[in-house]
Amino acid sequence: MEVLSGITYGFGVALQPANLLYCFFGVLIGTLVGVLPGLGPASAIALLLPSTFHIPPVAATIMLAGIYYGAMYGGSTTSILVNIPGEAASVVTCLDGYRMAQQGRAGPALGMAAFASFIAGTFSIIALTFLSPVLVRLALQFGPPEYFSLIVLGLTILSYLAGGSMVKALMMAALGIILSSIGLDVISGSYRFTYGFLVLSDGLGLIPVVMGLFGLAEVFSNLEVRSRREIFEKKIKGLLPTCQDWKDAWGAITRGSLLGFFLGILPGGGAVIASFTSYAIEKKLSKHPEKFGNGAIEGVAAPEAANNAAAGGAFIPLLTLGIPANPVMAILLGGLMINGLQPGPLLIKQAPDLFWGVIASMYLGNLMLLILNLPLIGMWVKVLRVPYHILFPLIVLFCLVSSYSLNNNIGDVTIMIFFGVVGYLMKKFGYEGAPLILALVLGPMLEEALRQSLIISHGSFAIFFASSISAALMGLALVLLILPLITHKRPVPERQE
Amino acid sequence: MKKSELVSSSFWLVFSSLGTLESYRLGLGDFRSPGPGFLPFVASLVLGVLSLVVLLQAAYRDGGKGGVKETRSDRGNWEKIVYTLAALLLYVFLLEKLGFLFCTLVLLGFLLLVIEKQRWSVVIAAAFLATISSYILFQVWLKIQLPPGTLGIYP
Repeated sequence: MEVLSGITYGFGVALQPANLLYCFFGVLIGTLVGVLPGLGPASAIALLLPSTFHIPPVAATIMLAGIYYGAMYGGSTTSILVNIPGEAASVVTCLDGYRMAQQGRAGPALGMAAFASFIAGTFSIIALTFLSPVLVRLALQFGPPEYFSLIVLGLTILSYLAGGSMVKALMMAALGIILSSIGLDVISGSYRFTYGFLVLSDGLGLIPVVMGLFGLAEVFSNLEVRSRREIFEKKIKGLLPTCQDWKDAWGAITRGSLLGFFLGILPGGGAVIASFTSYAIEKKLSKHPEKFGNGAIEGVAAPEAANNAAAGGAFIPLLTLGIPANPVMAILLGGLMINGLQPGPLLIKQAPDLFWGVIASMYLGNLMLLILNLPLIGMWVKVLRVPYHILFPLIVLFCLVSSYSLNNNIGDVTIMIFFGVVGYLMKKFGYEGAPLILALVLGPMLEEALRQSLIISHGSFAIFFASSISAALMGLALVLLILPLITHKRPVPERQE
Repeated sequence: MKKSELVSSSFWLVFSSLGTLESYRLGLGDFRSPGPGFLPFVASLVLGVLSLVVLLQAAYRDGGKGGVKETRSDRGNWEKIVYTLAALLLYVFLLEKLGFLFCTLVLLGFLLLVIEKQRWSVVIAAAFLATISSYILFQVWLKIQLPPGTLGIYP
């Protein structure tokens, strides 16, 4: 009953004309971001966050959420038509999607990607609707030791599933924690690592760091090696998949939705990992694994279902525990906190309009995305023709203006440029940005939970194993840390961020 | 690849040593009441140990995963990055002195002309259009205070 009355109230909020419009803007920008290679949802949300300070927090969150799940839809278009992923979660869609386009089946590939995204997206929102209140009750039992263990597990999972070296991913998580301690220490009242720079006294801003690491660094990489964009088909015909296509893809969509949703919930999981894992599972389960990579429709349906389900699932830890599952959620958390809201178990009571309004808006957003991505596919193909030499100065300009507008401070722009160079070098040397960002956001929570736990236990680390929840979370983190040493194997996806 | 691993892990090793020292100076406290330097100290130690692992792996093992293969095309356009970076730093230095409109126009013109080697007509049209539309979007519509500069040539 609580859920039904909540979601009805949520629809009342989401259907207000202004919120509906912001939802539409969100999914539209999200699709655009997904379609355009070189700009991911994390940097797009970071770019737009300062401009949402002037609108109500519910409308702002509805729009920013729309950008995230909208990007998952849009990414497949570029993968299928150009063989370049629009964003990282669509890398694996290139394998079979582009092959289908080469075989003259771009229409059904795009259609299946959109339908799989819609089905999985809707499934994950229904699960989000019903699971969130249950998890809120569980979250109320969380004290400092449980929060500490959960954050440690989240950072470990992200490092475990990171592409490339796990040691390097853990290094970036450690670096993120060090960087998160810059600024005023609220417990002792002393400044740490500020060295007289006023811009650092409030800590290192998340938005300039994200814009630098994901936005400007991407620009630098593209300046160095420019990928060629050739659109495969000029006219897209027959978007509806055939009965045989549906028969082949149905199981993949179901499994992709379930897997994506659960990987999305896990702190440190997310859409990229979900898409790779679901593709690998489908290939393993298939009676014709040789078809994968040669235009199998399951190879399009599974990852697209998984990345959209993960996008919905990722809202659960944010809304119920106040813990972001991935960098995009970390930026959303930052946005909510700027608006004076503290995501966590009390959010459902303190801001029910935001909690239920955002969830309800996702049902509407998914429907809008289906319309945007099927009948209007021609428009996105045109967008794909915008040359990068026009896009690149615009991305740079947006990075500059957005970081300046945060506090009207040139120091934030300098931080953004600095992290742009850092991010570029990290890419060159094979270090991932995601663990750094997540640790940067979770660092203050981790530190507060650690210090409070140790004060409560009079300095005993056994407190992290005293309650069953904390012990289970810590145990899982330890297993994930030790497992690669024993088996010398990790489910490391070959991917590009 | 091996060289890049050695360079990056050595850098992190030095960085973590500095982090450990600075955190120690902040005060570690004790386990009953951890001080402000406690967590950064632990994180710096972890970073140091892990960079040592990468360093040793690179030094004693041929090849391995996780490195970066440098191809000829990778090294091709590094000048573009240096020029863009220099232009951005100059932009930051001059933004509050000369104002948003002038600095942005010059920056976009430079990026389009020098970095992207576009025709003059494209450079002028695109730079003007992007500068004016971003001014309207941010300053007029979103009410973000962009620096007018000491010249004060616009409101």
